Amino acid sequence: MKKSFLYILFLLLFVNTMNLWRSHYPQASIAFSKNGLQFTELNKTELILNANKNEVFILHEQAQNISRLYKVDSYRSSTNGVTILTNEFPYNEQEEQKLVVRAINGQFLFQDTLRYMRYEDRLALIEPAEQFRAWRLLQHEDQADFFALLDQFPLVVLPLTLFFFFLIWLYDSLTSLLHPFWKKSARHYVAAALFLLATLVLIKMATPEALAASKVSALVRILLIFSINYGLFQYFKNQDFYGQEFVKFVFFFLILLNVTMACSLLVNRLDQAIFGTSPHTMLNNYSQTLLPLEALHAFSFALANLLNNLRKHIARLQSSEQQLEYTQQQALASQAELKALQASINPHFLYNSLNSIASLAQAAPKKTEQMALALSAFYEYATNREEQHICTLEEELEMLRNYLAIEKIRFGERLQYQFDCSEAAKACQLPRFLLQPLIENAIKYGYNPDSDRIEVRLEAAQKNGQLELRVLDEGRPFSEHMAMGYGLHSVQKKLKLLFPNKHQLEFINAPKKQVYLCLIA
Amino acid sequence: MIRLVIIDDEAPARLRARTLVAQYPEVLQLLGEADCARAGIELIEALRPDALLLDIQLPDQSGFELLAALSYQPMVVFTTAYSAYAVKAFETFAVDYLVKPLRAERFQLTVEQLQQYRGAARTIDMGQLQDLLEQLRPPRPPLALPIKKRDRIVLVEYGDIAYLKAEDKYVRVQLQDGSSHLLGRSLSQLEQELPEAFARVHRSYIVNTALIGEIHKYFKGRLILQLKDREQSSIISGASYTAAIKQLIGWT
Repeated sequence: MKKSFLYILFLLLFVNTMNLWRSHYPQASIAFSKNGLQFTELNKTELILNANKNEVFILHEQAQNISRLYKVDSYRSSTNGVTILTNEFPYNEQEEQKLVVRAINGQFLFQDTLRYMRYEDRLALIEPAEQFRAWRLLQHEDQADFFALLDQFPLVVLPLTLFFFFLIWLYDSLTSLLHPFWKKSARHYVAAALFLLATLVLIKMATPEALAASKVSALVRILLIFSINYGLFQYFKNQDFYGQEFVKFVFFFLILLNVTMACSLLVNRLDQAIFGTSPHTMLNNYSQTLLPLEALHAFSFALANLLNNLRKHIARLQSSEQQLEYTQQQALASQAELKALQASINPHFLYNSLNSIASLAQAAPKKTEQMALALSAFYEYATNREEQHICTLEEELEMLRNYLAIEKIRFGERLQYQFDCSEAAKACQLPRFLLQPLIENAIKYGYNPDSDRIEVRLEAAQKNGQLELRVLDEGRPFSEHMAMGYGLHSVQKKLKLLFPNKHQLEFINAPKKQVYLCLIA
Repeated sequence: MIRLVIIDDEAPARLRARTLVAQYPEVLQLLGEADCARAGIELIEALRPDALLLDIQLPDQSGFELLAALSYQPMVVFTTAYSAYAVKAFETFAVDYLVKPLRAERFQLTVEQLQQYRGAARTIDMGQLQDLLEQLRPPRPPLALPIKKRDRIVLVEYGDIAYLKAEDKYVRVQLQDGSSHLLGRSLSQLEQELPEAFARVHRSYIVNTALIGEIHKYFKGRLILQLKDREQSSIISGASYTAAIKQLIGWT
């Protein structure tokens, strides 16, 4: 989201500035003279200049519809433009005529011009044309130096990329800093405001000549680029199109480049259609002038974006390292917690059991023995010498039988219990000592006055890798305001530690009152 | 002769009481036993004993409720598994109290007490007794919030809750892990119930203060509370709650 805005801003500041500047150069008034004669306002002029040999070829259409190619020996720059001194024409009459006719009809571009020339001449022209461009930029040293640099030195990608990178970084940190204060819509507004501001600055910066010709087209171009890029960016973002950083980089670059190119050319055509601007502007020589420039910017921006993502990735890695340390500490804490939980049998149980044993000792030695043995076996299991936290349901059932044997001596025939567990379920694993608190609760709250019984039933079934356990009793339904006792608390703690996010514990009243527990293996 | 009934839901306890009573055949006469309050009331009303050996925790009702349901006032000896300290308070209400397991030496005192009080049974203010019992129960710190979903209830540990937010007639309980539950209760009602860690910070927000990571100042004297839950929720406090929050975290 934020990056798209950032990208648009850069696009505005660099690519469009470039376009504005460039599009006004060919339209700047250039005065030239033949043998001292002054000409002005060359609207449909194609300049092919040979600075190297001090030769300039000019295809000139005068008001009287007369155009010629001239050879120029020298030129002089002034505040009004460039004054060029011409000499004779080096080609034969016939060839010249063709060029002139095509130029007047507005049909050809720079490349077309070259096609009508001899091969050597073409070669001679290509290089000098570039050099003239460099020379021309030097004429506007203070403004154009930077762009000249861009054109001349691909190495400029490096500083440009760094520049973009730091800006993106700055923007990233600023937005994350402002995050709690900013609603998303607020960011939209700010971005829009910046966008407008940039547009105004651009228009202000453009020279009056450029403004006169293409104020509207500049705006149109900006808006067009803005909307198309924004749409594309959002689209790809939502599609989660580029997961991989490299793919991201390539697509970012290509999208930027293509859209910018398309916009520039389209707006140029609009320029031509609306204002009748000649297609023979430097802008039309797209592949030689603006394309490398825009490619450079797109590349830099994409690279900067890649760098920034890399930076974020590294930061994330670092924090995940800390996270790991934290989890390890948590795991240690969990171990300690589990240890503590292991022994969390309701102390009343032992107390009650011992009371019962004491009460029974004299009158019922047989029962006393049974109870003491069951209690011993129960605590043998509870002591957990091997410090295992997981056991099979089979083992749990054995423990529960001991537990229930004790309770049955206390409560007599009133307490009825039943296990209904499938063989598959019995082999399933679950946290050790998980079921005892649930059974204890079922006994505590499971008294049914109508039948005068405490009926506890444990059901276990295995389904699609899930162990489903149900502890049913016939007591009063669970209250909406039920409290969690320590028993239930220990159950939930164990589940959280040993089956994190893979368990479900519910208290169900209908159709049958039950505690429902589901464990996902 | 004191005619006696034993009421206890645990068979071994009844056996023990029976054994002890049998040791005083010239003083005590055992009329019968019951293992729940309902059966106990029936038995007592039918036999009208002079004294009861009464367990406080019975499966259907408490011993107090049983007493309240009686048409007359027999002498009462409470037998309980409560600690001796807690049961001392029952002294004023009953002839005696016995902590399980019943001991022979201690039971002799009880027999003497019964003989002494014979025919002069105390009237028992049941309401007062009930209040006393409530007080004696150690106040358990609440651990979880029950959330009803149709016919089932889920218990959500208070520690897992990030914040609660009023939504129309409901309260959304937002958990640390990003999930949430809807609860058909009012925020004010919950505010009373929730443990101390929870604080009202806005008309429609209660926050788990243990999860507050950062607090920033906001406009109009309000605060932004940044929580450490998975969503990194930030909640803007109400202006009127600012002072209370600052006090809570010791920010002056």
